[in-house]
Formats: sequence, structure tokens, C-alpha cells
Amino acid sequence: MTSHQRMQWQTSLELRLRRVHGDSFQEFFADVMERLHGTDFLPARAMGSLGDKGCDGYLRGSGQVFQCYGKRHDTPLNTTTVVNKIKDDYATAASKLPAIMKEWHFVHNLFDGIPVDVIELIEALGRQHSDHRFGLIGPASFSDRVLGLPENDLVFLLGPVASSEESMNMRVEEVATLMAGVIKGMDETPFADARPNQPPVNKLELNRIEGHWRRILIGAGGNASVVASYVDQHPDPELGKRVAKVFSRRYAELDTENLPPYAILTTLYEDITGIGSVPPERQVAAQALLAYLFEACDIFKDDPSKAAA
Amino acid sequence: MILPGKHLSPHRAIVGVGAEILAQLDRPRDVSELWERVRASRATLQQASPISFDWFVLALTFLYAIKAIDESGGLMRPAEPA
Repeated sequence: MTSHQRMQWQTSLELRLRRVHGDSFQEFFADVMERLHGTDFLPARAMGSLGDKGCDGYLRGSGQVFQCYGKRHDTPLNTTTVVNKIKDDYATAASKLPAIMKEWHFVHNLFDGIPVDVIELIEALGRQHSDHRFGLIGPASFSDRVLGLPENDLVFLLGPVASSEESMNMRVEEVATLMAGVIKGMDETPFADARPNQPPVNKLELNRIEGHWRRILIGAGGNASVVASYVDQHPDPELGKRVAKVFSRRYAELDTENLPPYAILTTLYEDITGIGSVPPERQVAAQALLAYLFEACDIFKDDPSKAAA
Repeated sequence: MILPGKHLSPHRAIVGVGAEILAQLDRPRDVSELWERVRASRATLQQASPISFDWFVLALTFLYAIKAIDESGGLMRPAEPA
């Protein structure tokens, strides 16, 4: 796996973890664990009135019991609910699976961190029940596990990703398809003309864009010029402004929700590609479109001193 | 639309196209002749971007609205300074 592919799969994984919740999160976790551990991992399901005995999955070799908590991306986190779930689920597993449970792990998709109450509770459980080991498996641990899998497993779990060569040879037809999709059904006048404006070099820092999204925006910068050329050559001179309007509004909505930058970028990316398996050439085009909009300052904040100048 | 912007190059902004139209009005010309001359002129540009006839007519209308051109007998000509 190249560093480029790793970055692409990281993005796909984040998209997946943000999209799945409840049972679908549990199923995705089971898929990952089965690929990692083969038949040593046993996914558990509730069986009628018997329930799942506080176990969503079990790793036989180490006696690890896993309990999943997949929060919906767009709902607020209720700390009390999570704390009570951990208490209840552990108590259930401890009482009903004493013969097989050696460790208890709470698996979650909380991207913005876990409440300190949860950490305190896990530590407290560890002190009170020294016969069991406790653990938390969040997005970072998920990422380590998933990205450690062979490439064929990654393709199965997350779909194919673009290679460096595909990124360098972006098909402008894909950009055309994406842009047409964005403006489809939209029948509003575009933004008023704006004075030409170059984005500040420190825009990434200003908006605190780090990690793989930073690398993607920088890496897709070359293809952003292809998008700019496509916009300039399009028969409709207003195309660029129409697309910019869609994304400026969407960015404003997401920013109002106080989402962190990577969550905003992930959502915008998914708005472009749609949900489901995304072909590599479309991934490349979507990243180029985001980089183009970012450089044009249609999404994310510009340096206030430059904006006012 | 009228002025160049982040997503609209000077060659495609209405004022830019208007300037190209004015450059072709060294003598009175009809709309079809102007359109052909502007298209031919744009084709020689290194960064030529396409414009539709509708867009060209918008630029022409803009020039007329700001009293930069006059029309008489189907021919366009630069307006006399007031």
C-alpha cells in the first residue's frame, strides 16, 4: 500500500464510520474483526428474548467481549446515556458470560472524543473488577486495525481507491459529471460577481485543517487547476458561480453546527460523491473539486485581513 | 456576470466581451458580422474560452444600456461622446 492509497482509505474509513450507526456499526465492526482474526472472532446477535447477553462480538483466543456503540453522526452525544449503557452492558456480560469473558471492550465511533465521564467509568470498572481487563476502541484504534489489513480486505471493506497515477491523470469527464450533479435541479441565480481573490497561503492553518485532509487538499491542488480550466471552458460562464453558491451555503450550514474542519470536509466530500462505493476516478475528481473550492475561498474562512483588503 | 470574478475570467465577463465587441467596431457593423469577428478574434487568444451567442448578445445589450454603442438601420457603431 502506498502512502497515497493509505490516505485515500483513511478518508473512506472515516466516511464509513460517520455513516454507520446502531446495527450497521456493529456489522461493520464484525466485518473488520472477522477479516483480522478469521474464525477466532465470533459476531454475536440478540436471539429473541434472550438478548445478546451484553456481547456484540467475542474473540476466543483472548476472551475479549466487545460491546458496540454507534452514534448517529448528526445527533448530539448524551453522556448520561453512554455512561449508563456501559454500566448496563458490562453488568449484563459479567453476569451472563462469566465463564468466557476475560476482557471487556467498548467499541464506539465518537470522532470528537469521548466524555471524561466515560474514561472515569472505565478506569473505575477496572479498579472494581480486577478479574477483567477493560478497553476503549474508538476511531483511531479502528483505523489502526483496518489499515493493517491486506489490500484485498481493504477493498472489500472500503472499496477501491485511486492510485497516485490515477490522481495525476484525473479525467475531466468525472469533474463534469460531479458539477452537473451539483447544479442539477438548482434554478437560482448565482452569486453576484466578486473581485478576484487569491486564497492566503496560511488558510490551512487558519482553519485548523490537519491530518489526512490537509494532505488531500495539498495533493489535489494540481488537479484543482484542471477544474478551474474546465470551469473557464464550460459553455455556461456561470457554472463556476453556481457550484460555488451550493458549496458556500453548505459550508455555512455545517460551520453553524460547530463541526470540526475534518468533519465539514468529510461531509462536503460525501455530498459530492454520494453514499456507497465510490470509484477511484470519482474520488480523484471529488478531491480536486474540493481543492478548487477551497483555493477559491468558497469553503472555509479566509484571512480576515485579506478579506477586508 | 458583468465583472470578472473567482469563477469568471476577464475574457468571459460581460465587460471583457464588451471590450472585444468595441474593438471590432472600427466601422458600423451588423450583429452577425460582429459575432463572427468577435469569435474569430477570440479564437486567436492563447486562453480562448467559448462564449455562446446568447452571452455575446448580453454583452451587446450591456454596451447599449450604458450608452457605449448606438444602433441605426441594423448597424452597431460606437456611441458619440455626450
